Amino acid sequence: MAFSLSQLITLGITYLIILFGSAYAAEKGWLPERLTHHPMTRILSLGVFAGAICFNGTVGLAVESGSSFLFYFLGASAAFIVAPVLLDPLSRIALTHRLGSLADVFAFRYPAPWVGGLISLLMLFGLLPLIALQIQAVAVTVHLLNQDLSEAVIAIGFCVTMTAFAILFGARHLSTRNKHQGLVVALALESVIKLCAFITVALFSVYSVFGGFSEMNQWLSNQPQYLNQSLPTQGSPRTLLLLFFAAAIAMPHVYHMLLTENDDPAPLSSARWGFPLYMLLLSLCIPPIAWAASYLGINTPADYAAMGIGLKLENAGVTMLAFIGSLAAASGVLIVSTLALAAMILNHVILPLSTSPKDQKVVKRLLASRRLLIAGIILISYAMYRLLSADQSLIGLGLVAFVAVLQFLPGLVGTFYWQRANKAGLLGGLIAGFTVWFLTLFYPLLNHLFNPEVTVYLAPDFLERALAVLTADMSYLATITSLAANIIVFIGFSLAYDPTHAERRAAEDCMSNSVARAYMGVLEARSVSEIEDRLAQILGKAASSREIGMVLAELNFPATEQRPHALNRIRNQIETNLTSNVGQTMAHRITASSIPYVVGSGSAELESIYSIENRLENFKSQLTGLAADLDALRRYHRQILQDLPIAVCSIDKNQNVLIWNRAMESLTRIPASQIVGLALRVLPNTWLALLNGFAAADETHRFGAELINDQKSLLLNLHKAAIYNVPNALGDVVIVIEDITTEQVLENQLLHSERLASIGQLAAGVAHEVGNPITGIACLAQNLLMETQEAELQEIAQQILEQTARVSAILQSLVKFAHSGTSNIQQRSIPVEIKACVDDAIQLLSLDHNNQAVEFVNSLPQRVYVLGDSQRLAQVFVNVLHNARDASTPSGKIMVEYRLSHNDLAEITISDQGHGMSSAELNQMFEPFFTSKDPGQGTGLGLAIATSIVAEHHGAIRASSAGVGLGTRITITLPHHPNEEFV
Amino acid sequence: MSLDQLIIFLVFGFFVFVAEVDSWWAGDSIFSWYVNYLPWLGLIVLCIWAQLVVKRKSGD
Repeated sequence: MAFSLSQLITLGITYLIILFGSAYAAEKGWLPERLTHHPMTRILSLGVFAGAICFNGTVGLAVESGSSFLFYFLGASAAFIVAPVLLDPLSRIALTHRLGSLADVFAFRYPAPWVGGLISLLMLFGLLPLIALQIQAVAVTVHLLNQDLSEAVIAIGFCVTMTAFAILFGARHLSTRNKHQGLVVALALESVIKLCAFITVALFSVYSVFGGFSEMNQWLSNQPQYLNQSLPTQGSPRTLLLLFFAAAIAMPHVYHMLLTENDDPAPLSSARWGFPLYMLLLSLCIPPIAWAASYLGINTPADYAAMGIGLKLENAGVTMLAFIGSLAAASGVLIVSTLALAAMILNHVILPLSTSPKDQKVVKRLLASRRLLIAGIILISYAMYRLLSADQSLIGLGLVAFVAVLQFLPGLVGTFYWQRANKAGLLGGLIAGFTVWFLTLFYPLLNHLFNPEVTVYLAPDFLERALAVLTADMSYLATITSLAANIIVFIGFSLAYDPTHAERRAAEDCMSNSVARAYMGVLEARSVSEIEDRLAQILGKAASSREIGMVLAELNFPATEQRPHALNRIRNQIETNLTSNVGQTMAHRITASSIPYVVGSGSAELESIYSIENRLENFKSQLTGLAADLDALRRYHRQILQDLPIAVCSIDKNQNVLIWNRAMESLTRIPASQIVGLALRVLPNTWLALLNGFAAADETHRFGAELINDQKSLLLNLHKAAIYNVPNALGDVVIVIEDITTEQVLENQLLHSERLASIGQLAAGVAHEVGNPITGIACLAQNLLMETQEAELQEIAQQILEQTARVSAILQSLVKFAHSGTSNIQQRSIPVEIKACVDDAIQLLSLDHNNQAVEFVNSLPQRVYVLGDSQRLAQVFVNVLHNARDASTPSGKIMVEYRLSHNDLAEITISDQGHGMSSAELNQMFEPFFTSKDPGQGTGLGLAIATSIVAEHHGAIRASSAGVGLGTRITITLPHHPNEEFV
Repeated sequence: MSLDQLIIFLVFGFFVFVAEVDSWWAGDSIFSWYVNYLPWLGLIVLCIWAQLVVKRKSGD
């Protein structure tokens, strides 16, 4: 059975139209987003792993080795099933730092200019057999269908078509930030086609070849050799598992679809079961196909058994389906691996060798370079295919590539699990591993070119060779020896050479769960604009401005940002964003040259407590045992410091604020988030002068420092201590601030009270002493008045009597004031009706006709009681109302009102319409001897006495005035007494 | 032991004893050939379960 050229061309074009059409529709947004962005689409695109090795090679293996083919599927599936071991940390750092390839990952973890380039070149070298075998699979498949076409011509046609597709749909954007949605959809479609083709051929094998499932099992029971095939070499299954495990993680085409064309972690979690399920379905199809091929005795090579069944039974549909499946499998691997390799070579080999671009055409030039690289890699692969012996087995070729990729596994494991791993170890390990690989696996592939007389280690017959690859000691030894050499040298060199500071920090970034990078030091640039200017020297002004704008938006930082740690984050984000454009090597070079650190600022000794804490936070979930206990202890102490009721701040030697506790926030009204990590100079001038001056001063204590904060005067005690974090060197300074403003006010009030008490006692003594002679004078004046008949003398005596009476009244008031508070008011307390009390006071004042006439309006309700002494309360109202009357204008109105406050206090308000009081007068009006009346008109003791009496009744008195000329309002508050029991 | 740890433990156990398991598969097994796939399917179910647990926790 053969197919005509026109049939094959029609079929090929149909397939390509579907493939290109789906990619184009996705790029144009014609397909619904819920389909193109669905996690299942992402998972299916990972089916790119199942290339010609899967569709052809494993079938051939199943024909010869029974269940051995399963290790291919099991190894790859295991990589996803145990994703938390390697894939999850890999995806975390790849997505966080936008590492578009494995070369980026290694360049990030082992910072050195040559690391990315070395990984890229080795990956290209190692993968050439894999790409070549895809070409071979398609060429052989088409040749089996049409013997008129030579394999070489078919291979050329296939390569040209795939080059066009890769350039059109895989290299439209330079930056990995722009995803190639068309490529993802096309590869997902290819995976569906592969699976459908496999399932159809398998079902055809079961039901058309054997006649049914039970018949197939019946045949199997009669042919036990097909079930009993096992690998004679004990080490091989484990080696194969490891090979395919590493391949599923490190193969560039898998990495590209898993992490480069994906910026969402959600599909990755689904891929953990989705990819193994896809592989399970594929592998379930293989045994029936292999058994049907054996049952039928197909004429084609076992690698092409699926198509061989159709050809043997002359079933055009099955044959075509197998052909399309094979084409889909091979084209997927070829396209994506070429794209990935081209990006790696461009970013890590071509770009570092070129001069720094500044012009706007750079993106176009880079895209053109990438497209040329794609064409170049496919051309080299074609050359490799042509150089290979014509009848190389697919599985044999594939294993050579898989062993090459396996060499990256030690470095990758070291990336996440060994902090001491360094670039010396990586370089040594890779050289050792690849040397063994080249001598034992790669060179024998091409050996027939150099020494045709020597039989290549792979036997001429492809089936024997396929089996030999898996069973021969040479193959097993080659794999194990190369890996062992790699691991031993990697460990040895890593132990022999200390990791650099940058390597230690990169290791922390890779090993911690945080998205933030470790602190590297203080930047030379002190502001965002300075960073932008420095970056513009390399990228050009427009590109620099664009990058800075993007970074500020991503980090939500203002353009005025100055905090050293914030500037560090901006620098890291710039490097991350540049990585997605030009790869890790160039991005690191650009940031290192344009935004450098201050020399020596990144050393461990000078690293601030702030960054150490940040890093510990990042490592929190990884700390165990003693480290976890120590971390818990640190947090406890930190919390104590934060919750201390006294203000504490800490300043490092670069004048950056490290600690700013809650009390400090409350005192300064500056949140910690706005100052921690910042230089002290950004503080308001008042605080800057105080803290800066005190930190620099020799004194360790400063008492009674005055400061105006938010228009409020503060009195502060400051204490400081130097923190010695390096022996014999001055470290950070911790400053403790006590706010003694309240205490000082209380102290002043106490002193004032004591002074008043002294004055009162003095006044009482003086009053007592002065009272006696005054009484004597008054008696003598009385005698004089009675005994003399002279009118002049009588008038004098009368005046003396009046003046002595006045002096006596003053003295009596003084004595009363001095004795106030000494009596026990509680013992004489009875419920007093306020309204009656106020009426009494008004009545008493009305008797005095010498004063001006005013109208008293008592609006107090009846039956409102307070507990107290009615006489003394009446005196309070007399004094207050008296003052109100004196302040009022003639015929003025004095209102007495009542209100029950929410906290059960009786509020009596006496308001006049008099001349009012200034705020200064209001502050002093309750002090003894203060009066606003004319000289000789008042003693200045009325309100002081009233205050004293109200205080005895557990009440309060306060005054307010809208201003001079607007009247005064006196409010007396007394505890309200429930009046029910007196009703 | 968390679900993730159990899955890793099972896969590691398979890796260590793969030769023995392979001999058992290829030997005179009393099971049908497709029974080999059941442990694999079981691991996939465990992975789905682990994902649901994570989703539920993140939902909390």
